[in-house]
Amino acid sequence: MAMPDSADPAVVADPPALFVRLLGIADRVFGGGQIAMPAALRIAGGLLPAIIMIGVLAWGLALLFWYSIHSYDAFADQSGPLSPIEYATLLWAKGAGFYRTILIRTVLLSLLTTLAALVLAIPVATLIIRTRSNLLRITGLTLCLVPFLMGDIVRAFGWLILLGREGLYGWLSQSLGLGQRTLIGSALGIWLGSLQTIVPVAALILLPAVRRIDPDLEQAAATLGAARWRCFVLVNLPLMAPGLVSAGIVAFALTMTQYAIPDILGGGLLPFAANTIQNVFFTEGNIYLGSALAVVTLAVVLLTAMVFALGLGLLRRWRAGVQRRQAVEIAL
Amino acid sequence: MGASADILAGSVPPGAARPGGDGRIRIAGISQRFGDVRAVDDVSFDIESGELLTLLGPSGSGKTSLLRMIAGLAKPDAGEIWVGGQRIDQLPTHRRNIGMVFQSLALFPHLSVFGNIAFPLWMRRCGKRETAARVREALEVVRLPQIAARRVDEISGGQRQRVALARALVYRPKLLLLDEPFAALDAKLREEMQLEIIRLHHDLGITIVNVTHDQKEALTISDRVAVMSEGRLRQIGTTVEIYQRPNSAFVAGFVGTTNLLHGAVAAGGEILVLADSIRVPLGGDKRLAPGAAAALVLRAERLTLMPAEAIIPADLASLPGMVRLRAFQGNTTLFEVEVVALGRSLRAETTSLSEASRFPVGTAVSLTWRPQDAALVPV
Repeated sequence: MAMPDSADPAVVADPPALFVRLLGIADRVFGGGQIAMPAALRIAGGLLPAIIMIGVLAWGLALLFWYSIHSYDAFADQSGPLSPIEYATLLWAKGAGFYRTILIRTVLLSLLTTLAALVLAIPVATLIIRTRSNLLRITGLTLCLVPFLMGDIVRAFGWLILLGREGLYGWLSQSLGLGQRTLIGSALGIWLGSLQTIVPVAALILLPAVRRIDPDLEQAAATLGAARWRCFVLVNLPLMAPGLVSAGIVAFALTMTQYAIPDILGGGLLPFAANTIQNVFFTEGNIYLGSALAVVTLAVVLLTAMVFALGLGLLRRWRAGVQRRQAVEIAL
Repeated sequence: MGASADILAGSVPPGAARPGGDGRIRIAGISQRFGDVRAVDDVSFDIESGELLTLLGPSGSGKTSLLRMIAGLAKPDAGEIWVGGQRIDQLPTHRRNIGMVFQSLALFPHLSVFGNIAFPLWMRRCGKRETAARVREALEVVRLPQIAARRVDEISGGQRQRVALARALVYRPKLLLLDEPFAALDAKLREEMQLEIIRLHHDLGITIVNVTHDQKEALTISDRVAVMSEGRLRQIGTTVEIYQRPNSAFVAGFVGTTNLLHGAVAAGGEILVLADSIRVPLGGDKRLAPGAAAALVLRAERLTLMPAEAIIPADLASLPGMVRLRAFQGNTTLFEVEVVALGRSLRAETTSLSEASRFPVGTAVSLTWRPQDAALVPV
């Protein structure tokens, strides 16, 4: 469309004018100006970048899945025929214990991290929402964001210093007469290191859920005879539940796919799925087994997310059902 | 209004013994400060068991702070609060056994109507059968059977008000606190809820402390009214006392449609000298010393318009004026009459349509009143 204009020397000599003209054309095409376009096409145009991104991702995932259902001809270093053998190697074949241990470790530590992160995120989010001091609120928000401003590696090395034999933990244990100990290479170390990023994520996701809770509800609960903890269990927690589920899903997915923290704080002794995938892909060069492991990890994350969401739905239905039954009883 | 108010005064003896348990309240020397601001400043009064007392005042007068301290949602810096012979100001809110309806109502959105009303019974570990029976009873008390299974966002505003009331009453507290729950309602629904409160109060004999900035509501529903401003208690008394014998220009100005005429007392306390040596006679039993600065409280409905040429009876006080505005309001007609001699306008109200029609805008009139109908307050 810009072709007739390009011959115009004035336009070519004046880049800003050309830019403005191009903008005008774009506006006419996408903005519903003179050039009429069906609404569906215009919307599709706006979503194009997103569609491309998701398309690439879907294509990559499809490719992973395709690899994962092939055997690996190690001798020829090429794809064998279609076969469930990679999944068998990971999950049920003799000697799958190695991979099973890694998967179970990843899932267990992720669940523990998620649980602790949710427990810790509730007071953090509540403080940020409820404090009357703007300074405190901004400080809280900033502290939640700081862990994301530094790289994974820097953070992990920070923990290495804190938890290592020569670090704070070693110094403390020695001062207490327990000998120079270390948390590096322990599940506890990985758990602590993970919490540093997962707690802020969970807290940030919880913020809107906490903000929706009218503080009057807690005061009303108190006048009705609810002590602080009962009010929390019976009022705050149910009202926060959707936020807790979202935060839980994100926290679990992020922990499940961690790489640097288990690598560095685990001291190579306690690899997570991601570390093993890297190892299988690049050290062993077995993209078929690596793909299968990636698919299994993804499946666990998706299944857990579904369980979380379904669990919330079931809980609500059950609660609504109980109340309805009681209400019907008194109506009789 | 005046005559009917006199009759009403006899019908509700404040503090009459009623069923409903010992709901006496004693507020003794309660103060609360926020930094240098005294939100509540040394307030003391007693409430009889079964009484409906309204804390009336403009926003920031400390009425809500006082209510929140009774509920335990705020802590007094000084003073004591007693309910039914028990000192409660040290108790946490959930141990006070006080019912409260919040301005926002604060119904639990995740619970059904049944769940909301049953909540305080769950807290008291009532059995299933008793809980069901009492929720049902509470819903009948607020005349809302058949909605127990609904969600609270599925019912109307008026129904929500009633559910909040039922929730605050279902555990039979000795004391019910109302924190302006009707402020956000439209006029018609508000009136309906006010009548509902009067009915509930009468049927249950429970002590009620109501907070409002709506003087009309205060007069409508209360046995007694405590008028507050700037953290202080200005006057406490029956609605009739507050209306007919205000103790200050503030109370007089806050309750009712009022004209305040400032002047100086003269002639042994029988005359008030207004600006430019205009003198009006004073009536009633309340006398102030000659020379004292005072304000005459002229209620709009106690002012009568007369044609300027009419001869004014000797027992009436009067001021010459000119009608500047006439507004028909349904049950009354409001006049704004400019009194040139005082350089200001006074408001008069009449319920008589024929009288109203005699004084179109621009008519020269005499504003008259019986001296004993006008209270005198020091300023």
